[in-house]
Amino acid sequence: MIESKAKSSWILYLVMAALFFLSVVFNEYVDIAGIRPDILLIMLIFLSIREKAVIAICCAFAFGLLQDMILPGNVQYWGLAPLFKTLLIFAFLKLFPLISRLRGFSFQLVILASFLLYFIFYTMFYYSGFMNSFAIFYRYALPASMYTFVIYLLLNMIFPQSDQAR
Amino acid sequence: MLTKLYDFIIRKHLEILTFIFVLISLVLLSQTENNVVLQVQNTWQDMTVVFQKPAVERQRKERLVDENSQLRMDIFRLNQEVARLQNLNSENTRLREMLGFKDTVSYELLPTLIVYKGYMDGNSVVTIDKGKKSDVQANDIIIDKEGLVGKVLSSAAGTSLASMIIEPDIRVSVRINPSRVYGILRWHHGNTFVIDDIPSTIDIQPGWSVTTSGLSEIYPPDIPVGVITKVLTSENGFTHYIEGTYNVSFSNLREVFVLKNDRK
Repeated sequence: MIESKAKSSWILYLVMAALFFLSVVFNEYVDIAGIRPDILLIMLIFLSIREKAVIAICCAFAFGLLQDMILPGNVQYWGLAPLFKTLLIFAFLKLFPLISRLRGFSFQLVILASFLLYFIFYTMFYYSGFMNSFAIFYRYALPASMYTFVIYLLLNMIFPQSDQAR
Repeated sequence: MLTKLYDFIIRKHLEILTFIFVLISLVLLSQTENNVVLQVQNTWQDMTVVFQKPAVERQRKERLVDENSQLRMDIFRLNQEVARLQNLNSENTRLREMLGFKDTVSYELLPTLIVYKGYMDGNSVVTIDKGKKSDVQANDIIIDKEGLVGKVLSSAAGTSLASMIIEPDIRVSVRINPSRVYGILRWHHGNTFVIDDIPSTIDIQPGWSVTTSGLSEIYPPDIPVGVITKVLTSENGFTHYIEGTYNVSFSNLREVFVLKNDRK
């Protein structure tokens, strides 16, 4: 049973690594009206649920660093992705005893809220001073969260998360 | 004492780790345009361009047929324009000779392909497939057939990182034509820009064009940037608040040119 779970985790991580690689290489094919999903964020949520807290928090920082350092995107906000990814996963891990009690729709709602929270903070910081908060929310944070959540749901159908325990 | 400290570290290891990571992130946030980071990004892009280029090339080929027919129409239109400009140029040369002026600026255009457009939406740094081997250097200008795109941030052997003028922090010194008023342009949202702090006593109309002013050390003069769409009065009542749209469609960019400026 334990072996089968470990094997399933490895398959999941391989699938996500492949997805991440494809989303980087074919980033314009996954682009819908300029919006792209954050595969790294999905990976972090899966890691937080399945792996030890230390691994999850280290990965949150490492993935954020990977996003900012290796994948060029902006020059004035290096460190923004590791900052918010680390903080989000820290909060998620701290609340995990509560979250893990939830089942089905409520659990998925918490995941959506986590994505939304991350993108709200990220985009508000990134675009602050250039647009009003509401415009930032509906133009960037909300669509990106929804797109990421849809990809998460598809993966969750193949690798169910809500019944997993660390 | 040491045991207590050890216990504390064991008990609060998650909080301590988070604190360290947040601290590192904050230090990174203060490092805008750090050369080491740019070099890391450049090296990585140089290594992965082999994977990215085939996908980009395939997408590019799909667009070539459409572009071809559009270009044929453009060629016809431009031929007419060239004939007209040749007349003007000969007249201009004659007048310059009379005044003792010389053309001091010459540009060399290097065709290049955008191979990577950033991980998330709203990213304004792109990777182009030409680098030091093609003599591309930091601060070379990136243009599209429609106008100004941005500038090169840093270059590796086979690729370069370029920042587009839709980067929130970038300002471009521009001239509004035909009034020849100078202003500072900044990104607004989407494909739009704003120019403010121009006295409201100066007449400016929607539809007028915006080009680079030549006052900047980086951007040469007369590169088209955009068109004015709205002229509003700012809150203080003394200056214009001008909105416009960029000529370049940044979301659809694929082929661009690196402009080598001999003035540098």
